[in-house]
Amino acid sequence: MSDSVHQAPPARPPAPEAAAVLPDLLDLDLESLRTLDHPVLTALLDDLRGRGSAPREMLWNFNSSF
Amino acid sequence: MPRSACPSSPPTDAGPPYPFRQFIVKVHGRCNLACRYCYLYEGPDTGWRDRPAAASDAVLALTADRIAEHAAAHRLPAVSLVLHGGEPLLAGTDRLAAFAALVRRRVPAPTRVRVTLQTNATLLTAARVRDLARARIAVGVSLDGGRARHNTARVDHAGRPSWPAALRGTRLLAEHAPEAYAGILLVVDPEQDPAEVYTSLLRLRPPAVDLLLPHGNWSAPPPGLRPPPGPPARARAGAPAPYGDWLAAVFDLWWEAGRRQTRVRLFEEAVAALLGLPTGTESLGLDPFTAVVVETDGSLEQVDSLKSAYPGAAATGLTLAEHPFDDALTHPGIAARQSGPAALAADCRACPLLHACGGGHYAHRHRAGAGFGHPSVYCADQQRFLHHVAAALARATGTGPARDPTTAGEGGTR
Repeated sequence: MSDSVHQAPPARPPAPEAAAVLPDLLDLDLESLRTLDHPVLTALLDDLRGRGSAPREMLWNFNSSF
Repeated sequence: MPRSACPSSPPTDAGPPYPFRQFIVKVHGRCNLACRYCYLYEGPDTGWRDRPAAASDAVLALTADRIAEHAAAHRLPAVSLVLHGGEPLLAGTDRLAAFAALVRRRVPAPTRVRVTLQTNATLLTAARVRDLARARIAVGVSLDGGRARHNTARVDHAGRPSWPAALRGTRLLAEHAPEAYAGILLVVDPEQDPAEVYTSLLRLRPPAVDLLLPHGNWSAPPPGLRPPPGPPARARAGAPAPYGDWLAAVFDLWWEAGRRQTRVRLFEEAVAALLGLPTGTESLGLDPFTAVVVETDGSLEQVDSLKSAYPGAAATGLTLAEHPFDDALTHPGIAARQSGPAALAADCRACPLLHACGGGHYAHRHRAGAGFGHPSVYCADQQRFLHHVAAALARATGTGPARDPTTAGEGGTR
């Protein structure tokens, strides 16, 4: 990856000036999502369901390793 | 169980300081490569030159004792031991295995020890892969894609490409010890085609991938970013977001694959953060950062990424010979990364993405002479990426707007 000045990427259409509204995802009932027809999200939710109640003992957050 | 909008506090939160739970040990302080973008050996901090090349037996023994002391004092159910560098394989697999075993013997009985190693893979052989697997050391590989042209910046000290050896080593790991193959860490280059990079990585069969933004800040911007003049501030709507665009493109490939082809830590943690769950990344979320580094001479430091900001940025002035790990918990830099929104800029605290973004990676918030209390230099990219993931999550769960509001002009529902 060069340190030289890069060409600017192709311009994207500008987003609306009104603030983008974040969908309300905090109140989703994860248990009710067990029957989703979305394999990737279903697999991920199976992993994430324990995070809300279990201690963070196996959650580590250093980025430069696994 | 209801989740709050600021879910960073653990269920048994007694407030900071939170004990260290991840110990990054520089078993070797040199690298056999000289990657052109390396934030450590090509960055502003040259302190590595004044330290021993490798951690001595005495330093490793003391490290094991101090980890055990910390685990016992805080009754830690589990700790992460990261064998790092430099290139940790320069220490030899016998030494790495012996150290991992020593830590496992020293910690109190209930404490589990997860041992990982992060390598450039060029020194992996079939024998070394077997040694590491036998020692129950999970091996992560650093690559920037699955083709030679994605890795042109990853060269040795003579400027020769590391790709042939790195590919060979990664394949040996996948073939001989898939149970020890932790995954691939990649540094994003938005000039590379995201689909090509992602699909080429999949051919290396990683169980997990993480996508890291190159370290930079307001005073030393990352490649391709030109921060606007003036004080650091939250990015305006529509600001260029080349890294966010790149991540969104890879996200779509991963999300719409029909099955989970690999774990992508950044994407999974983004979903966790948007759902108000605890997160396991430095890139997102407000969870306290609980990692500490032991240098080759036994010094305690914050993580190397801070060295991309200025020389000495990671220093604490503490050494294991004289200080237990607890003494580092009150260091201002470490405390700041455990204080959730309190250490963030006002712009970040007022942002609707606060709980998911968390201000982004700490090192990316720095401005020379003005500390780390700013939005990320990647603010526009963080916004772009998180809105994109949120929109995808909303569509998949039937929640809220069906369109990614940051992609005006693409329109429509999926």
